[in-house]
Amino acid sequence: MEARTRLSPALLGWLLAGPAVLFLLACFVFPAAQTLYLGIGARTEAGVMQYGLTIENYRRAFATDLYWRVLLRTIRMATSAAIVAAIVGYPLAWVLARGRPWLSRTVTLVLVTPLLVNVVVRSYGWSAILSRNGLISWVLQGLGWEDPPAILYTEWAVLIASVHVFLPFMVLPLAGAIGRIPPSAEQAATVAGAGPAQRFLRIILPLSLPGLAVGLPLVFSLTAAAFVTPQILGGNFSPLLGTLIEQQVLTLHDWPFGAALASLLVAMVLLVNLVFIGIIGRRINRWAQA
Amino acid sequence: MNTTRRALLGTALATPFVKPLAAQQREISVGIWGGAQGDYVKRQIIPAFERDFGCKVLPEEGFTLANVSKMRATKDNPRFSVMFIDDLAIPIAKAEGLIAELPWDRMPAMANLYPRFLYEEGFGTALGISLGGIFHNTRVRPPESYAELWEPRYRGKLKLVSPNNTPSMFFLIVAAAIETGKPFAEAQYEIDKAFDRVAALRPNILNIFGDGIQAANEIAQGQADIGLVEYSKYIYPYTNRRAPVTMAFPKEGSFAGTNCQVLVKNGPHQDLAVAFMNRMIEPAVQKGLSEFALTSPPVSGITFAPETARWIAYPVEEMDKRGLFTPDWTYINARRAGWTERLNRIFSL
Amino acid sequence: MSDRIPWPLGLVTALLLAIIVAPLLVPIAMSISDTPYIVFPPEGFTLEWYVAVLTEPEAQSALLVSLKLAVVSTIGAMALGIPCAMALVRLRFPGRGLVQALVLGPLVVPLIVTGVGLLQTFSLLGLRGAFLQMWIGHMVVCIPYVVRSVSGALATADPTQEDAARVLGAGPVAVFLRVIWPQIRPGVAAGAIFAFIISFDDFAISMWLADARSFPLPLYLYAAIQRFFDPSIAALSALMVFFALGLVLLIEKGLGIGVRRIAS
Repeated sequence: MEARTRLSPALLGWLLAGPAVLFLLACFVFPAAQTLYLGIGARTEAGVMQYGLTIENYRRAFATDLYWRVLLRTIRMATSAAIVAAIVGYPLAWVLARGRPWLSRTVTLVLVTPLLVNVVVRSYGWSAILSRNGLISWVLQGLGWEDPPAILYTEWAVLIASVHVFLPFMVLPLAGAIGRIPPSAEQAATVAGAGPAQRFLRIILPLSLPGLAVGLPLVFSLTAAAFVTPQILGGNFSPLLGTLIEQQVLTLHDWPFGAALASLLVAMVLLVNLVFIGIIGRRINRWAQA
Repeated sequence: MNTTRRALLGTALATPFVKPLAAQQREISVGIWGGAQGDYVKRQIIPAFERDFGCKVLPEEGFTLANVSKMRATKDNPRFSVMFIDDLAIPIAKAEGLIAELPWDRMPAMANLYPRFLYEEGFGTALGISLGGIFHNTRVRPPESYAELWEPRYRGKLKLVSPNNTPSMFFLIVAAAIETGKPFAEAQYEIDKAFDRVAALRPNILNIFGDGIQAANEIAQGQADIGLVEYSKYIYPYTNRRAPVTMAFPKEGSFAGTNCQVLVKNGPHQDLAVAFMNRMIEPAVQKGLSEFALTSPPVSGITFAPETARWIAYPVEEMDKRGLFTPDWTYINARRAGWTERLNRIFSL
Repeated sequence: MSDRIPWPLGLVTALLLAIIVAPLLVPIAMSISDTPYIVFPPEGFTLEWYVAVLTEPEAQSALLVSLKLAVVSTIGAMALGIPCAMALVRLRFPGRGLVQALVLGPLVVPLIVTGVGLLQTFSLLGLRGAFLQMWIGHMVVCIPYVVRSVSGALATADPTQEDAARVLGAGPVAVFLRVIWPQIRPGVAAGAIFAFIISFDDFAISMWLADARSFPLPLYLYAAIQRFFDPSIAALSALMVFFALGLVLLIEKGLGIGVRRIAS
């Protein structure tokens, strides 16, 4: 007993994390690295892959404005989706954490439903709502706007559809965090005369940061990696980098260039994620010490 | 069949780290298409073949674009014996050493194959040809010429095929033909001149579609008037069931969309694989496949009832009469990446 | 302790829920249309598309494969993910930053890269058996969700309670079961729900690894759409929703109080 509790944090840490780490090294890092390596280990001529060290793929990715502009769009879109999901997610998370059981359950089920409907099938629904003769246009026309712009087949449609399906990845962690805030804290604030806005900023927001540290990276990464939604709902006018990677691999049979684009995306998204998690983690610590 | 499948699944689940016992009979995996063609192969052709040869054929109905990638990924230890791929991918698969030459002597049905449907001097045969053209809602009168599609009256009313799909190369050839006034066969070598013409079409395009079936549905529901360019095999099944969408072939000509089969190099049980490929091009099988999927057979000597004949271009003289055009894929493959980049730049920035 | 929901918040919630559901009603409406192809709004009314889907043996076996796959992948991802999350949140050990990045990896690497890489690796090793391959692949993509969700829960749990229990002589197992587990249950439930749905809905990994014997539902659905888009596709989608929602409820129940509540 004594001995076990005296296990050094380093040893215990590796004992606990070890199985997952080994599994991911063998079944994720090795396979993915094998593919990503092609970015410097091969190049494609007329669809035919030729091995040999080269920097040509990266040179092309950086030299062509198309790719870095689409990369920037990808980061912009993923950031927007994460922020919108957080804004939309807070009220839902609060209701989920504090509402009556039937209400919580309803919110949870409604939230996860979009994930279960195939994206092609789902897109028919969006088409009926967002297209030129869809529901929204109809309402806007009724309100006196003569020729409202169609939302379908624009970047907006991609944003809306991404938030729609990835929202549970924001709300469930947020609800978990809000659920751990003692209701007495909010009541105390109310007694002290704090309005709803102040209660949110002073109590709920800082105390739910751990939930945000889960939700933001998930929504950001999922949106950044999406490749079907931009094609179907964005009408292919504003593809994200994932779409172009898929095009390189499946259509042009150019795995090496696809690998180069993919590694740029990975580096970018991982960087943003670790910064996110780092900043929020520091906040949490600062608050814990205070 | 279903019970054995379930039993096998059960075994796989119960003893995840033990391979299921090798079946008594020999087994080959065939990477097939989805769609009506795949359906017919799975439900009709394969069961009959299994009976005749006492073997098991596992049809892997894949994401069609992924079949070449699957061969490439499993190159060192092939899992597939036969793969169905598009005609344009055959030169690539051959150059990478993914496929083997077909043994003529063991494929008697090759005698009836039209020579134009044998690829790369014997590295693949066609299985079915469908027609590439435009599709439109039946309440819209289709244009006589592709050139009309550039007119302002089509503003926001067209759906254009995505550069991810082969017919997008047909679209580039069309644009080059309009730009230069030359027939497809010459225009295909002048695609580089056509990109201003391509960019000029942008205001007329509602969206760029990746899935012909979804586009056909949306045209049928009136979301847009015309879609370009797509294979008849995706559209005619809807026309046939009286959905308000059909194909049209402007006067510049139409394209041959050719689905092919190849023999995977070093794939398991090559003898069975060869027998299966031979079966695929036998006249009786081809007739059934063509009638079901509404594609034209690549072999001679089949007669069709009028209700099938109206959907397909057959025999080969009829294909020529309709100006069915097969592009120079070797030329196009070498340039496709660059053209795709230019298309992306026009439509996606 | 359920608070009363203030009415503006109730209104916002109702509105948001309506927006989330709205686009899903269209496919459900299409599934009852009495036409041989899909239309919206639907024409006529029939339930024959549901009968057609439910009696199709291939759809049944695809559903079975997907369910089994989702269950074993969720269990596997939790078994590896929960201890890993505990190490990441509670312990400062060398290489912690790297592990942090590693468990995010499957989330940030495009699935097409992971899928092709897995197919290549399995081919290299001569590993056959599509179900096993998909199980491994799905575990890979599910682990980040479990680790992130459980980490979030652990970060809000109170470490002083653990210390107190330890001081009072509780062993590590007892500390975990009595003190930590009740606090992280909501996070575990969220992670399990995410893992289950990600696996049940996966197309991008299965597309490379499936074979004719183990052909999961999302691939079946895709193939069916390619064959012919009739209202049975919409019916199948609606059924998928009902099935999975039932299972989500089960997960919630199975983990006790579920996502909504901390242990009292």
